[in-house]
Amino acid sequence: MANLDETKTSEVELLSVGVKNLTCYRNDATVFSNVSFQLHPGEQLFIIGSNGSGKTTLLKTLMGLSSKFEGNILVPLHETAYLGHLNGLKSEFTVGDNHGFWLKLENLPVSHNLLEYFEIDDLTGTPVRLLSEGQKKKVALAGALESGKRIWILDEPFNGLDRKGQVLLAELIQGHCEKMGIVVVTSHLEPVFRPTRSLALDEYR
Amino acid sequence: MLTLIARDLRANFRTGSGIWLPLTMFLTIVVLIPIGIGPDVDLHATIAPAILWIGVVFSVFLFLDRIFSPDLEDGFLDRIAASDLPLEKYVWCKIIVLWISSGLLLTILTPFLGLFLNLPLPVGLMCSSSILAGSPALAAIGCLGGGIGTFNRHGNLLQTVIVLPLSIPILIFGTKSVIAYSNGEPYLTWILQLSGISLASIAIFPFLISYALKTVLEE
Repeated sequence: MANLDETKTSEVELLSVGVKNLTCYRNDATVFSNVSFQLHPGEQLFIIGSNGSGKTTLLKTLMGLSSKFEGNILVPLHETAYLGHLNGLKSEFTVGDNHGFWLKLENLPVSHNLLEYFEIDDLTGTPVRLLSEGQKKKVALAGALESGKRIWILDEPFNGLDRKGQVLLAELIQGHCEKMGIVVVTSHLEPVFRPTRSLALDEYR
Repeated sequence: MLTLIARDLRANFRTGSGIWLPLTMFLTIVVLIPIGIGPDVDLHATIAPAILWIGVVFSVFLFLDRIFSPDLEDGFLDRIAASDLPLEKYVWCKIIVLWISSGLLLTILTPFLGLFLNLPLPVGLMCSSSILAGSPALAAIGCLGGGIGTFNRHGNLLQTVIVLPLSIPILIFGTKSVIAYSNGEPYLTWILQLSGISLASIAIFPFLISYALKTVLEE
């Protein structure tokens, strides 16, 4: 969960995610061009677009995983938690091991707060290969977001979740923004909550 | 980093194949070749260093396409690349894990299998120390092959073309050191050269491999 240090309010004000005139390429073809936005603490950006409109490409470019772009990008990467559309879970390990791995990697204490939040804390001893798609998504989300990063960049986080899971995630995102976090999510579905900002990538072809 | 190494070693032990297949590969080569040659005990002792070394090369290179591709397929590599951990460190851990689960294990086995090939114990121990000095380089070369093997087009072909020539000097220095020792010639130079190659490759290769992986991740 996000732990915002009260003494760091000045830093909170400075924290922002933005792109200016961003054009991305894939296989030498333009995916989208001249996308600009600027997000301040407490804002959510909901990126909508049809299949192949470049939602994943945009997030990968934000995370510095792609170099085929023109334009300016500002993302404080050390403050950012990222989850791609693949979960990055190891099927032979248990939920608890998978969850704890990412926290241990950053030398953080292992806590199960988000596993409890998503009501899957009773599965900690179960190997991930036995879980359903939605449960896997919840495990991956819990592991990625538990580290307390202030910016969340999530690719299709609502995929596979049941209605209740979607509502839980939407409330989590809104709670994070109320604590002056920044959230960028993509989806091809209608949002289950009302985001403060949205971006329709289809308009930037 | 210890977390990563521990995780991969546990995965190797748990799936079983990661630990046992290199060992069985090694045993198969070391047992089958003398049987194929026939009961010429002196010849066995002569070619034993070569057999043991070729066994090591095969065992280390057994799973090159399984080093990085599972992490690439399930999105683990994406998350590592997006995390604060440098990709080079991740690659370095992979080299260490490959070395522990092949090179280090075979180093321990070599003196005993040397006896099977009519190789005196001191020479067997010498062979084992040359493998200890040279196998980290083999693991690094193997990971380079594994990284390049993840390229979509011609990855596997490139892997063979790159791994084979790079491993030849190590095979030459490795067998040469054992032969020099059993002939009473100076042998330390060979071991030192092997250690040098090993140290240089585990220092340099992680940068090359992570460059290859970044290229793949961009697609």
